[in-house]
Amino acid sequence: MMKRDRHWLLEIVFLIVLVIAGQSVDFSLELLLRRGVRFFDIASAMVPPDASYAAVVVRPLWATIQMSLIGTVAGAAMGMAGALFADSYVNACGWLRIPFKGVVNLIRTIPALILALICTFLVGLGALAGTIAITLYTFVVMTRMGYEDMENTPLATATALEVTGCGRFRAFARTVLPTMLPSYLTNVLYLLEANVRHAAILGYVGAGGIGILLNERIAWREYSQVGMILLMLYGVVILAEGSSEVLRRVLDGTYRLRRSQAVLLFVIIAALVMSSVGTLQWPDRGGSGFAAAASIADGLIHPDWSMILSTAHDGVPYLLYETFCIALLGTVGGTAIAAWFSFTASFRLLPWPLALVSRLFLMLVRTIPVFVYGLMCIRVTGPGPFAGVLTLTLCSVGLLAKRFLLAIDDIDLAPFQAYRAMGTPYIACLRYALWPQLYSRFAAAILYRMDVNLRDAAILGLVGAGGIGTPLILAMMHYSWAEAGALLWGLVVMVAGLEMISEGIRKSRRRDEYRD
Amino acid sequence: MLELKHVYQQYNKTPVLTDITLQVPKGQFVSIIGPSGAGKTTLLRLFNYMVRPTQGEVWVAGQRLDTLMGRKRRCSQRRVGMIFQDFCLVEESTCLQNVLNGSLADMPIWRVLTGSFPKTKQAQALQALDQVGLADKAYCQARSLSGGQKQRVAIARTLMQNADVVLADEPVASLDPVTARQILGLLRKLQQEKNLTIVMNSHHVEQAKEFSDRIIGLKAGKIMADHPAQDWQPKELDALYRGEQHDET
Repeated sequence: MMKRDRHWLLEIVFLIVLVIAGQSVDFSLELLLRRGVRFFDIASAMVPPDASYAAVVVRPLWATIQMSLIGTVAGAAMGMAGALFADSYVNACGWLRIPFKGVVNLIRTIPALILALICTFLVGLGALAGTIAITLYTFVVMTRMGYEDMENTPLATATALEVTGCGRFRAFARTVLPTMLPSYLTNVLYLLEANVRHAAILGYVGAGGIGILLNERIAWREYSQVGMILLMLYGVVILAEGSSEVLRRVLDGTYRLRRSQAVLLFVIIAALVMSSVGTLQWPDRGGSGFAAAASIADGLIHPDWSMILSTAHDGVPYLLYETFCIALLGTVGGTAIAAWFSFTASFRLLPWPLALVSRLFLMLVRTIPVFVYGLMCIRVTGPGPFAGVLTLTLCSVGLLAKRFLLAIDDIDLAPFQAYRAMGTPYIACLRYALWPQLYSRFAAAILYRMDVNLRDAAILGLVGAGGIGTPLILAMMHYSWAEAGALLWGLVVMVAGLEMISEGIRKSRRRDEYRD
Repeated sequence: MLELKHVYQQYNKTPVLTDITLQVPKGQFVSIIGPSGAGKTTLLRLFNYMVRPTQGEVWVAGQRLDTLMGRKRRCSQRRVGMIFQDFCLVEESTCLQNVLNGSLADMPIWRVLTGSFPKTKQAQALQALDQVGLADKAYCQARSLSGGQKQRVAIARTLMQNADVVLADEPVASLDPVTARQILGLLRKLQQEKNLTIVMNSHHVEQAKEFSDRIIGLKAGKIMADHPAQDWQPKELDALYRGEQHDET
């Protein structure tokens, strides 16, 4: 009884928070209805795409794919080593392991775009900076996922081998590694898809790939050429998702490769990666990279405390609050849209042609880079945080719908049918037979997306859509490292803090499940 | 072959074993029986350093195990194989891979990581699987096997290890009675063929009597009785298990 009452209270509090957040970001339904059509201004200018422009796009697009490919492969390999180093069974030195985990999790809170921007200061403009950023990003994400998988794998078998006198590392390599490797590689494939999309943005800060071209064409308002770029990017995303789907089948064992096929696959991947490495140009900037590194480090060590403590609208606390509001409302909006599309895109619930249409639409929604959405939304609302909310709403749809869809595909329909057979009303069946199965997975997806949105909110600054991103990127571009340090620390602390809270919620929920 | 001298063992200040002294000569099949919580598993695990004694000496094949360190200790550990109630196999790997895991100690690290074992080792592993009657399952995933088959793979792994001592911790407790008898029969047969020393924990008195040479009764961390298998009297067994009934009510 007590517990139910508290739930009810929580919902009220959540609604109040939403309303306050809405006020803070100048949310206005009236504006949305009045000017909503302007959203399609840019979209309609992109149609028809300028087909003759394709020839120009091919090279930078290929460079983008190469960047994400090397970055993912190198980052995944390093991530495995990192995960081993962070594992308490393999590495018994806690004083090495725990600081390492701390650094990995700190870097994880920094958006990939900001990493890329930092890299451009260190190694100069170009694809190398982007590649390093993607590698670093993949490394920290995979290290984290890897050591979590390792910690969740039982050690009984490893211990059984260890006592045959072969040492811990050998025992670990033959027991825990084969158990966790398939899920590790599956995560790498997911990350590869995400990295292709990330790589397309990095050009915005001069870190190579298609983004440079995209940025330039948008600045010139050549929207039919922008349309062509996005169309080709859409093709690449479909290709990437298709091939990673095939590889996932191989990993989970539904599709078995013959030895010759496996060798062929390995050779193809190796050749792609090698050829990509060959195209990278190494910097010859002498000592300037080190000088930049020194000033960045100095800014991080001595952040501008007056900004951190200021309560004005350009102080760190207010900017963080605004970013949080944007991310929260964006997540809520995205959840609403994604919930609808995940049901209409499920092959289990709808006839396949209808579901396929929804799926292709979802993929299209996911292809369009964040800042293109940003520009489209700014047409509606003008620069400011409300544009950021709309942008993140649209960006959240892709990932949330995909996770929701996976959850829907996994549900067990037997209880639903049993309730129907008992003559229970349809809505009640949904509520009591299906919703309990979906609830926790939906919640996990939403929490995860909230975490991503906090970081993505920093990207919105690029197009002037509010939040901490605008001042952060401006400060970095002007080499004001003390300011940038203050803003970056603020972002890191907020993302890390919210992650700890969501982790805490997840753990307490898990305990509740056990107790029930 | 195996020897304990005045061994004491504590876990969080609760005594688990108290002043245990015993000797197991080479080639003997010893069963340790007793109520749950008597310290059987702890006693067994002393012999391969899964448990370190709080006090006392552990001797394996003429070496004092509890004070050896590093490479020397691992050398001694290699002579001791162990099988478990829950088998401890890598479910995702094939039977052959699992058996090959018995030879990790003398493999170079690159072979361990790539999983490419030399031909001679592969042949030896296949032979070990053949000895436990699973030659046809070599390339099946361990996950797909029945409990009895999994325990056979685990036994083959100790053969691969060339162990001359095998510790068996409730090896048949999660198997049905018929399979259990087959597994114990296999252990007994291999023990006699290869002159292995086997120490087995069991809570099944009849099985212990049938398959072993000697039975040690353990209760509350102390040795209650220690006789050849056929000399055990019903009265002693009653005394061994009586306290347990009492505690539970």
